[in-house]
Amino acid sequence: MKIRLSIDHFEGDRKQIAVLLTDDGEQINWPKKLLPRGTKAGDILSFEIERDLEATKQVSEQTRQIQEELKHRDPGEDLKL
Amino acid sequence: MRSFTWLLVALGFCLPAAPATAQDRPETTHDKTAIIDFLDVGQGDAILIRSPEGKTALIDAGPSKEIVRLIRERGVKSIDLVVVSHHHADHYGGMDDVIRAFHPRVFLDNGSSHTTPNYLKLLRLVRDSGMRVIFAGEASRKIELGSVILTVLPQPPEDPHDENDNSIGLRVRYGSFSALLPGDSQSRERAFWMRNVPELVRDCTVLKLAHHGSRNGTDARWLRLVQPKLAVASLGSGNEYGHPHPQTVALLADLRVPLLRTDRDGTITIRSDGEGWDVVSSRHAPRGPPKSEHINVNTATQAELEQLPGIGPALAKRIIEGRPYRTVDDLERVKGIGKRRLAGLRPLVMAR
Repeated sequence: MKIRLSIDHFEGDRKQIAVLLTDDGEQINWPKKLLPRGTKAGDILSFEIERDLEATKQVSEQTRQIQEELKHRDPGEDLKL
Repeated sequence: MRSFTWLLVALGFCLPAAPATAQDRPETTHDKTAIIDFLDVGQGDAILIRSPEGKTALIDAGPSKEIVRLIRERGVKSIDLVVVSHHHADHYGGMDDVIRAFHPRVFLDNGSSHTTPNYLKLLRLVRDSGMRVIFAGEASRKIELGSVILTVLPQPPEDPHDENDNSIGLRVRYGSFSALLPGDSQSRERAFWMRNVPELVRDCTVLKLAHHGSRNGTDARWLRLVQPKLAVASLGSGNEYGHPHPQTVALLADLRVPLLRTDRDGTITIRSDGEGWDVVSSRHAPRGPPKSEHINVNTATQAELEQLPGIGPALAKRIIEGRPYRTVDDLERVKGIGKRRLAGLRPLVMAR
């Protein structure tokens, strides 16, 4: 999926937030540090977005493994601190 | 430690048998006082609970790194229990810093499968830190924080589509004082609690509004069961989500439940001796009890009515002539107020 966005202006006390505009006028705040160096107001940006299913699966599986390990150690009883 | 001015905001209104003046108190617990701080962390939740015995719990850690400073400012040097109510970053964003700074003894998690690389990173830190890890489960569970008792509400079956409905719900009890902390629970999870454990959510002194005052975090049935004397919303000023939603604010006004908000009132601190309780806010000058922001269509002046959107002098006059109104919906009988205009007025007015 490809999206065209333009940089309307920069906001924030250090102008660290880029205000991006979609073609139908919706505004998106985007950290300036996540833009290519030299990007300036008025630039047109091209965003390509795709789901990373492999990474999603990996994170999900790693989370499940740690939770299983930790749940195994929880006796489930009331607790006195 | 930063000097902190305790300012009384609600004495005499919702405070039966309120204990002595809050300004005289130090910031740490003493005698038989338990303290709950709804910390001002912006758009997120972080609730610090301190027992009279000096035991401490942190329920959620806000979205930011400010949390460690906020906790230290209160003279807290150690934390016994930390809770991540659910796996959204506005509830655990500062938890890694809290763990590194305070080395809590116990970590309580909802155990849901919802995850992101950020949550996975936190989970690895929790595992590697060696702290005791417990999970909310099908059965309720009690955690004694000295003489403050936390009851972990039973978890409904996991909702794979909406992590909010996997929130840990906690009832905090100290003597006859209680607070209900329902995370970001929405209709489904709250209905589960009302159906299965009404005794654990009924009659709580203070209710933290679920999901930052969102319309899906509060409903009339819930409020009538919980019967809070005070509602607290934890949210950021000017947030993009419109929290608190006008419907929630209107519902609280209708049921005469005062509302305090961290975006306006700063950190909200509640102290109880197990019987009475009082509430102080870090930001505002002393003021009366929290007031309803709604215009009462039965008592408002012509000028007050004209402040409402779409109401000019002629319509304001007709509203006054048509009194009394039993409910806000009765306004529809005023010539010139149709369904559309009434829908716009509903969040702003009340009939009392």
